[in-house]
Amino acid sequence: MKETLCEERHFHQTYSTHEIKVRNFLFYKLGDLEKAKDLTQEAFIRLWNNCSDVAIEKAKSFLFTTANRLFLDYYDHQKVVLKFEHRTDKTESRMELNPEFLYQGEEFKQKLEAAISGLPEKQRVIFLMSRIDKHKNREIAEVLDLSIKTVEKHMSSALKTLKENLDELKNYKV
Amino acid sequence: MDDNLSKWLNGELTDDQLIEKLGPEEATKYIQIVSEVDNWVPEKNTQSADPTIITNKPKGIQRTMKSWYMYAAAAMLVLTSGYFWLQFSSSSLEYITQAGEMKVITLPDGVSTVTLAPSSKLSLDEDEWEEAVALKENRLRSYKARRRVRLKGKALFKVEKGTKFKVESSSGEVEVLGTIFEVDDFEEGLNVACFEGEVLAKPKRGKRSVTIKRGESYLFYKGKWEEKVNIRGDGPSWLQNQTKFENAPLSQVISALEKLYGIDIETGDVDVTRRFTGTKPNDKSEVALRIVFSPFGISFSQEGDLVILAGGN
Repeated sequence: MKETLCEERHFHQTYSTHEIKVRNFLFYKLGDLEKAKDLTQEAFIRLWNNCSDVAIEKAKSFLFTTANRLFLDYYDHQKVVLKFEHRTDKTESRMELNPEFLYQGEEFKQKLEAAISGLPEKQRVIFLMSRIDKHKNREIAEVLDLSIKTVEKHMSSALKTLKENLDELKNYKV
Repeated sequence: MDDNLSKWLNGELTDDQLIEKLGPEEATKYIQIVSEVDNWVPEKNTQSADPTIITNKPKGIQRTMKSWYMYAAAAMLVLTSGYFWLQFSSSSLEYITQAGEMKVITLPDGVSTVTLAPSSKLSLDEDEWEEAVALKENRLRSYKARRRVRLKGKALFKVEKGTKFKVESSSGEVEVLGTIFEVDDFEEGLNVACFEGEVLAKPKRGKRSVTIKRGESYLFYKGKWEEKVNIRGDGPSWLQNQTKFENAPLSQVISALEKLYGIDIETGDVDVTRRFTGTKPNDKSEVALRIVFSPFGISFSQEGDLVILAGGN
């Protein structure tokens, strides 16, 4: 008998592996953490309801595809405003002390958050999935149905746009 | 320059190498942005939700299917028809499945269920259902109340006894009193298969209706009823990851393939009135296409979601 997601231990395993990543993916798209949690829960419910039809190794792409569909159903064209917290306080203080860094001041984080929120959706989602959730480019390409080259291109354009926006803000201030 | 950024982002260039390539000012800004973002999380102390909340609810398709087979006390019906779709009024409820997706729906009487096959749509009028439920509980005196749904696509119904139950589609309707049946609504036809119990199928436009008994399947195609086909099993094959066809017009098979895999099949001048008998798997589209088309000598080529047929006439 083939092992399936209908066995609770496999489902629970899949759940703990992918829950945060799916939630973050939705958060980057929506800019609303609570809603992202709700939709993530819904995506897993659908996985459970289809447990006999989805092979274990296909669970990840099922989850991301379903999450994307739920997002499209929900999407109400609100402006995305993303806020983040620091993983650890240690790195934060180390970074503030780094004398070589050119963007200064406490507002750097807020400005960067605003610049990221303003990125085109694909760039924003790909950039954050890669940097925060440490998805490999290949994995992003797979779940978003893009080529690896396209993912790389979105990554570098996102980074360039962010730098340009931060520079603009800085000049404006001066 | 893009190339340098990509390589650095992929870890193929070190910070120092990036500074060397882009100059210290630009490179340092990139490094600062990325090391800031690398240190972010949407929420620092995330409490993971408990997955047993999901798995303890016995709502999965798999369980529902098992319970149907345990009941084994009804009929199944396949109904097929075209584009035409009537709209219900204000209190209508709609359920839609995407390609490759199945849904189990509990109907408003609280006991009857529907499994909606991929790329199908079911709608019903909640008010009408409420009346029907009230009638059954003797709270209402009306002879009109009935449980009625409209279907485009294919579905398996498990109907508990109660007021009259009716499935409407563009090429006909099916009436039952409490049974399990499947309705498949494809272009040009109506296919009714009954696994247990009895159903009455009426095609549109004054054609004679047919009573279909347990183990029988009837196809209404191109304006007339065809010879009955005997079926085995107590549930439709598509619930078990395969779909079985018996003397089915190629157009019906093609419609099922399109819905399951979310593809478009361009038939060109291939004759789709020929009949297919056989079983195709539901998981691999390549294999399914080959099983269906190669016996007819039809070749196919696939480009993304478009499949083009050729030859075989």
